[in-house]
Amino acid sequence: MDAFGFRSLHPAVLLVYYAGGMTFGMLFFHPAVLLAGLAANAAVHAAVDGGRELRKWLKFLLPGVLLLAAVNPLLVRQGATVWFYIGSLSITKEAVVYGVTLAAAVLHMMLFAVSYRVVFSGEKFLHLFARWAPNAALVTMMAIGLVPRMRRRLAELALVQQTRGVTVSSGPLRARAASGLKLVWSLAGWSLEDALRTADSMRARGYGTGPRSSYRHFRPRLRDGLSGILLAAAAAAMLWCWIKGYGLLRVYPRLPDPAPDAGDWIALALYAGFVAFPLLWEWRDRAAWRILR
Amino acid sequence: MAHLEVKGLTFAYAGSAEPALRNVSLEVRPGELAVLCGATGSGKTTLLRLIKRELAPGGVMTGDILLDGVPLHKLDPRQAAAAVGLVMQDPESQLATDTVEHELAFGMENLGLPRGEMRRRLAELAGFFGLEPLLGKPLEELSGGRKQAVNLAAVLLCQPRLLLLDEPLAQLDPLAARELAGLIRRLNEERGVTVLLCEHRLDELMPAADRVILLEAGAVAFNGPPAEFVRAVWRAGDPGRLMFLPAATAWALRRFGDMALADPPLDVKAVRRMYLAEGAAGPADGGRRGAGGSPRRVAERGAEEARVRRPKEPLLTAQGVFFAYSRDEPAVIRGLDWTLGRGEFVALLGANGSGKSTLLQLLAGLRRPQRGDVRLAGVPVHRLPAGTRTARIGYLAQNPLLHFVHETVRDELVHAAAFTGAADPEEEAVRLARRFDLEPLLERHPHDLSGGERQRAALAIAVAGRPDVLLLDEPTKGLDPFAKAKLADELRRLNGEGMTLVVATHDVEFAEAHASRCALLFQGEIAADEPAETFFRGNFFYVSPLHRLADGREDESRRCGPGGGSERGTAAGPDGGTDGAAADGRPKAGAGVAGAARAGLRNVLAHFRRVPAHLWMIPAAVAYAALGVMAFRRGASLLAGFAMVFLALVPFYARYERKMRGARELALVAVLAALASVGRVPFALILPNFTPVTFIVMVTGVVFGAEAGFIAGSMSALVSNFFLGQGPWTPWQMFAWGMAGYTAGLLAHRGAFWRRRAPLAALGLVWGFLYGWILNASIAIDQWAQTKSWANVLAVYAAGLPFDATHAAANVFFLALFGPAWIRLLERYRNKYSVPVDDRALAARN
Repeated sequence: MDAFGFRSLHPAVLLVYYAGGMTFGMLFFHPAVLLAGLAANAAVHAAVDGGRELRKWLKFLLPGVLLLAAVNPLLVRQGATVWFYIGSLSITKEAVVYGVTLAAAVLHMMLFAVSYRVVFSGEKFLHLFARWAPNAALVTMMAIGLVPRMRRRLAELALVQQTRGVTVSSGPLRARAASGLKLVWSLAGWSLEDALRTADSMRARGYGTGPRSSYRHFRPRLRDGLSGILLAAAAAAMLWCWIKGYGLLRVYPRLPDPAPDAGDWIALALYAGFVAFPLLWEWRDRAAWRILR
Repeated sequence: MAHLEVKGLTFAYAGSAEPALRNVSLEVRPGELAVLCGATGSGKTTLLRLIKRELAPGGVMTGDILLDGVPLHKLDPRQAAAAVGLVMQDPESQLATDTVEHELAFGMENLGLPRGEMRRRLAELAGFFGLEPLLGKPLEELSGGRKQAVNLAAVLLCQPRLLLLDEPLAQLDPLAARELAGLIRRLNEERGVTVLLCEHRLDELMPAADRVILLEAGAVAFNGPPAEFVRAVWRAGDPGRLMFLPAATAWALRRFGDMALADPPLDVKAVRRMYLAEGAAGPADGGRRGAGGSPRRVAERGAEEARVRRPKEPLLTAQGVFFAYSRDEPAVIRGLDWTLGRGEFVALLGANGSGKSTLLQLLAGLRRPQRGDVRLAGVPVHRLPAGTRTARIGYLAQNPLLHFVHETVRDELVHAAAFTGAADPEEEAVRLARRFDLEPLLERHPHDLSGGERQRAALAIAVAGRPDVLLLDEPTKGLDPFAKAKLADELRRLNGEGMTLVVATHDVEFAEAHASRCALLFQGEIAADEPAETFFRGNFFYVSPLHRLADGREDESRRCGPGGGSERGTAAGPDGGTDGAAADGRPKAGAGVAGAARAGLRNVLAHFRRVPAHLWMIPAAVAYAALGVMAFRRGASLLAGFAMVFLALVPFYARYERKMRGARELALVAVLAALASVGRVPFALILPNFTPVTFIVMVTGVVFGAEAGFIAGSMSALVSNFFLGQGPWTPWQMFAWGMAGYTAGLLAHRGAFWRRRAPLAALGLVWGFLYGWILNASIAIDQWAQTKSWANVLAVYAAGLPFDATHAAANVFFLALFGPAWIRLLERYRNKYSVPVDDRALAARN
């Protein structure tokens, strides 16, 4: 899976993509730019895993985002152009546009988070941070290994401790909450006891005898270099745009014409291109399969 | 391969006058397999830990330990760690990481090996162990036997000169144990690895041993080749020592006496050869009674068999029971019918994963079948109230730790007695303690007991209500022969008093020696159910080593022994490394522009690599801060908030990375972080938002200090989001939980006041709201950016109030009711293992 397409890139390049995409997604505030970004993002999802993960998450994410768009005009009285009234509540055009743009930006962030899940395996995350923050990376890896083990143990405890009168499925609320914590307490004692044996086994294998090396292995390749340069250049150009004020819609106090001007178009093109960047490698490698077949 | 010499070693634990080892001298020659045996408490583990320098216990030691003539303490730390490898008993807790590959690499990374070397070693050993297809798998998905194989491989990858094995087979089922024993033999015989092993189950390993060392009360009682060991033990006739003989050898000695003593047969094959030569009758009839069990069993058998044949009054019945763990999984129990009569002693046998544990849990009423029912004397068990059910059906899980809920053995017993309806629980607890030999342990913490003691305590809890039926899941697992004998006596006594016993077990010898009836679970049904006598006669695999003699069949365990070559040639030579080799001899095609670009890029990268990695964080953080400020001024509120919280995390982590952390500290923080993310599970049923995460984080801060509190808190957020989904919310959660742990830690080390119930609960209340407020900040900043109106900011916070209030209520509830107990629990571990609290906290205390 990880040998082809966008996923085959070095974790550092992936980090530049996600950091850049998210940063500029939060910096640009123009419905057109953000909608273009959303479209590009959706296309990336479709290319990377056929949109499976996105469909799974959208039903959780969408309600919150829609709520955000709906609540903003109800809450915010700012803006000069009153659109309509709900009872005595004035709804301004500015607040509606702001709310929708904000919701689009938030949704955009969430799309990044979902594709990050697909592309950026824990392995890659650890590879990056093992150098920057070795202690934290090691703790993370250990804890990730512990979570499924402890879940299983918690289920075992919940089963067996019924015989000790500890149960979360019946009885008054207070007793159930107390039982729940008792289970976690038992789990804590057990796991802490284990942790010390784990520490013994770590020291037995030479942990703490000096600086560690890293087994994880992502060799930077030519495509990583090219991608890095491309993304960095695009990011610099976007930063320039943003400083110039392109891709920014000043909603308040009075909504200007929301149609993008020339500067906004540049920002839009750069940003949509940046977000759609994974498609380049996805298509390139797919073409290789077609040719080789 | 190494040469280990121990000279005149005497050792006493700190604070103990009695030495644990007395003048121990021994020697293990290169390429030897030496077996160290002795009863629990004879000093085996102490000796192994002294040889494994990193784990040497504190105390006073005289004498020398030499490895290849060099005193162990003169080796440099890295050499010492690599030179001696150790595998311990419990397969699970020795695993430090998440996947097989990471676990195997872990030790080599610690030793700072270069990447190419690591890959070469791993490629080679993964082949030898057959672990290659499993490399990417989470360790959690492996069976116990595989986990132990990973532990062994992980140690061998450090290329130890001496391999120490401390009861590596004790926690495994017989099949997995035999497989691993075969692997250990192969390592010794084919690879010449020097092994010093202590183990109770010697049937597989004694024949391969070059030397047996017997420790008694800390002194060497015997040291010599296995044949001599057998002779010495047999002549002395001490039952405490006879337990160390392999079952087949003991049988042969009883059967043939002196003839066998001249050249003692160590495995089944040799014994068979002996009696075939003798033309003797096989042990099928005579052997089983006379030699297999203890002599007294012969007399008892007759009476028992008479009892078995009499029809019993049915007590516990299962009718058409179907059970599956989920709708998409195949059923584990499929239409099972089974009747247990009053007063029986039934052994339930079956392969790994055949559902023995599940069946016991169904019989105990702990799980409810989807179809069919389980009745106790005609009443469906799920209709019985929990207390009555527990009183009438005792259940002992495979792991006795699962039964403990309280802080002392006394509390455990008192509560068990009360729950099962004893009139005077205190009195009853004392009675139980006397009966199960727990009196001296009453005030101890259940986790501080030894394996055998834990088992007895759990057994006492399970029979507190004097149940009609007692269901035991693998009760002999991990017990040494003495503890096993003691357990057997206990069970026979209970059975004699009229209690019906069902023992699910892999231990065929145990079943054969004690059960009156044996049942075999296969494909979710009882495939065979007969009196013990006839049951074993009809079996091929479920037979004790002695029964293998009976029909002159090949002992199947031998087949994977030396020369059983299916796996043999798989270990790749030094040139077998794939990627390491490719990395160096690569540039061939496209050597022109692309090659030059690649070389240039590599140079640039190499140049940047020389800068210490964490220094890169500083310019990155400064740049991001500047961007954040600009964003805020231009109304880009989302980024401003994100930059703010991101930067707030940086100093804490930078501080945490200042120095390399100790293994114990890391392991504890990892457990607490994992605990906080697992801890919400039981509460999902109760109330959303009513979770103990903040509580656990705060308690961590109180006990382990502010810094550990921050790291554990923020790690909980990061780790749980690996499972629930990372997103822009992750850094906010990391910061909020981190700060909850940090403030709790800071205050607790200001003075004892903040460790008390009420102030802690108050702090919990505050953090219930603060947590929500920090998470709401992203939206609040946006409201401010839009409207510059505080009213709107307040409205955002007001909207979150119901959630925050639930959260705060949970914190207060947990901290007020359980805060002190949790603080005691964590302090126990802090003190027991002297984990350092961070220095700032210490400074504050002094």
